[in-house]
Amino acid sequence: MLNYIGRRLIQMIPLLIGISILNFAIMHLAPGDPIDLLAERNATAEQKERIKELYGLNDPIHIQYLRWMQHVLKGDFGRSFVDGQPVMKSILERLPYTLYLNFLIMVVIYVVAIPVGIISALKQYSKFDHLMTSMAFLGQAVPSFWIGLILIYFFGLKLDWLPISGIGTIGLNVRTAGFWATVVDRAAHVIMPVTVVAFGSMTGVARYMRSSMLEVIRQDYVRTARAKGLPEKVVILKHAMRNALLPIVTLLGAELPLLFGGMVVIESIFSWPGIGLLSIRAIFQRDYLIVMAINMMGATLMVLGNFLADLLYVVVDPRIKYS
Amino acid sequence: MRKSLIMALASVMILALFLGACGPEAPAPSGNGGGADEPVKGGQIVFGMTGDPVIFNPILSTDVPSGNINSRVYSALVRANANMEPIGDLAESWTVSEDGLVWTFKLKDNVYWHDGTKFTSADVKYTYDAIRHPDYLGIRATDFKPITKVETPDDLTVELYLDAPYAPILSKLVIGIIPKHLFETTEIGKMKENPANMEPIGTGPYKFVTWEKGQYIMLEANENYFGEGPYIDQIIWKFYGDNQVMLAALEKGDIDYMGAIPPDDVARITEALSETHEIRPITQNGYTYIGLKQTDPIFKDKLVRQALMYGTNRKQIVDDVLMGHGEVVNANLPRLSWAYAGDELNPYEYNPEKAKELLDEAGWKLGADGIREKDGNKMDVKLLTSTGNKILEAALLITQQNWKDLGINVTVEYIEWAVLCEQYLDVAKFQSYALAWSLGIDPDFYLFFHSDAAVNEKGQLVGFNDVEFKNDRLDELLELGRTEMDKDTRKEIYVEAQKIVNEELPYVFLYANSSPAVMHKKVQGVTWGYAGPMFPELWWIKDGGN
Repeated sequence: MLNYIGRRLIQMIPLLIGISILNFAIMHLAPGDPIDLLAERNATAEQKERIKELYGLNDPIHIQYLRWMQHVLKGDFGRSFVDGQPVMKSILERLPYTLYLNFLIMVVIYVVAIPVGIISALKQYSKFDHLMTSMAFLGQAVPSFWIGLILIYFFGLKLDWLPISGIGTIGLNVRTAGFWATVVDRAAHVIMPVTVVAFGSMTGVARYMRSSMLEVIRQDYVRTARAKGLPEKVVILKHAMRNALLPIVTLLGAELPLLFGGMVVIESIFSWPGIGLLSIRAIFQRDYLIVMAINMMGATLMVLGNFLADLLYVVVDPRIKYS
Repeated sequence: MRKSLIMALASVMILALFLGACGPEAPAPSGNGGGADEPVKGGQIVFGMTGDPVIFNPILSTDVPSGNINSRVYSALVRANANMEPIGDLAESWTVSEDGLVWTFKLKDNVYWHDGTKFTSADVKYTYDAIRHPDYLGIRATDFKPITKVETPDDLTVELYLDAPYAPILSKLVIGIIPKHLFETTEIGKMKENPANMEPIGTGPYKFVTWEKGQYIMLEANENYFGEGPYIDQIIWKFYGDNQVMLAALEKGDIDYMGAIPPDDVARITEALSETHEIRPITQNGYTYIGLKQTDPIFKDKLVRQALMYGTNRKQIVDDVLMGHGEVVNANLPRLSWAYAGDELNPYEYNPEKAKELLDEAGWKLGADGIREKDGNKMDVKLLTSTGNKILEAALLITQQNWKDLGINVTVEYIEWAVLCEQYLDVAKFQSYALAWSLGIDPDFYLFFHSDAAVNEKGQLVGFNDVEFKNDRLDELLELGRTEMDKDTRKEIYVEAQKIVNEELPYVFLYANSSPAVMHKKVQGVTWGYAGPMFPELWWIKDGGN
């Protein structure tokens, strides 16, 4: 097993290097140049050359790549062309808010979707099942910005139950308002964004859970458990559900990178200071180093997430063994 | 995000930016409500903004949100009053030598940086020299090109030496002065990395407190401000990624001010908020236009360009797209400018028949397929524009239909800003394109239409004259306008220059919008000028916010 883990980790290195080369090449081959956006509209070619030199954009692309790699290995992701700030600082300023939001969303998705999926499966083609199926398709079909604006309009403006946007009331924190008041304030701010994203994304998990459960309850061992005269509750919870959850648990591993993913639309609508707006701005401004750092972070997590999913298989399914 | 991006991008094109500047020479403040009351200290005002600022350094920033903060934190040598005329800010007074080559500024004596250091002429010299440095990474170098030397005979005197008389110089000195003692430690080429850009120290009426990225910025009153005010204790800008959400925040009372209400929402907002809020149209200091390559086989003929002005229903664009919140423009200086030619220009009222006659006269005859042609060439026009501006998109849709009715086939291509700049605009390679200009306070437009500001012999664009307009009389006038110091004479010069532009048409001029801004009536003492609500240090909150 340790052997397997070590081998997988070593295999990741060439993979990540390949991704970084592709990433770097795509960024630099794309039309549009940060210098054209940074320089004066009427800057002369000489002035632009000078600016390129100052930013180190004059060297051949492979030299630029190697220099970038050299710095990254030392933990230095460089500085933004646009605001001159260290790339990592800009990312770390926003990452906690993205993690916080995505974590809550994931909790809500799983806490709601798993029971919904199970009940839908047990009462297949019931009114509840149909309702949930319709809701699922609705959640997939309706754009999140629209739901977001509708919620803001009703709950934020008309009913005035919830704050419109942001992560908390300005100036309200544990020191000024006490612990519980702060918790209530932060919770009030996070309800709408979590609801909007969870509504749109829980479909997958619920449907997955439903079909997994449907499959399991037709298995022989479930019939055997019933035949032994076990109460239905025990049959479902101990025998069926535990097995039906297996694929869902591994799904969690694969979804790890999503925790770090920015959501441009949700961040715009709810003025959430996440990483999505940072990356989209960097893309439009050709702020290469920020885009590279965010992409590499995503790629690394994706690779690690897949690895983790594989490991989780072993943990939850005794039939699988790696050597 | 889209909106904020547009702002960030649009601002790249901004020539000069100075919002919320100003001082005592302004016209009588038209206060919100009871103007007779005495100003009181205290309270808070919350602004909404789309888009995060980038950098709190007036010589490096190019975007509107940063400009809003910088104009309150930093002071400049001079600033503009409500009528776009320069008045003293850090400068007590100034004189210009007989030959117009040396400007001498006397500085105010009681000015301190927010960290307590005394402000001196060395700070002014440092700022201007930084802009003139070859490694300078901002967009103001052209503005300071006429300056050959900055001297500081004593702590309170600055002398600017010019290579030739240059009347617009004062309008370039509205740029904030940065503290030498904090910036001199970094090389000019690495100025962006200086931490003082993120926690700015200025001499302005408001001190920087905090910036929570993507959330809000807070400023507080500078008790040691050298001028009158400030009265309001705290200013907050809250970030909104979406205009509709910002409107909801305005209605709910989360913010006290929002600029540029989208045309579609003006009626609703006016109905909902006119009791509690001041709603004012803010006429854009700039305009939207279609640039026509003057050397293009189709556009090189003046009759064709005039036909396009007559044949574009610009009034319909203003009425239907801007919902009446704007006006048709016929030349390149804004109504707000003291040199505006106004009534003396040809209004080119919509007249498709006249447009068709002009095209016939120019030799473009209607072909069998409904497209005009001349010497075997079809009247096919490719019109480029940047993605993301809904209003411009709608305006171009009308334009496209209008031109089609004249027998011109127009293909509109929407291109991402970075690509549009790199491959078309910065290399002056296009047939036509639609964009907007934001203007400075001086009427000088040498860089726009002088033939020396076009493409040089190496094929490089050297000014903003990417349409390669050339008119000898206009060249002469634009040179004269820069060297003539007398304002009335300059006005005559620029009125004639506008008439030439209006007649010769380097652009099809479209519109200037005037989206309303909304300010809560609790804010008093506001002067509404060319840049919207001005002189924030003189505003005060009714009852001090209690």
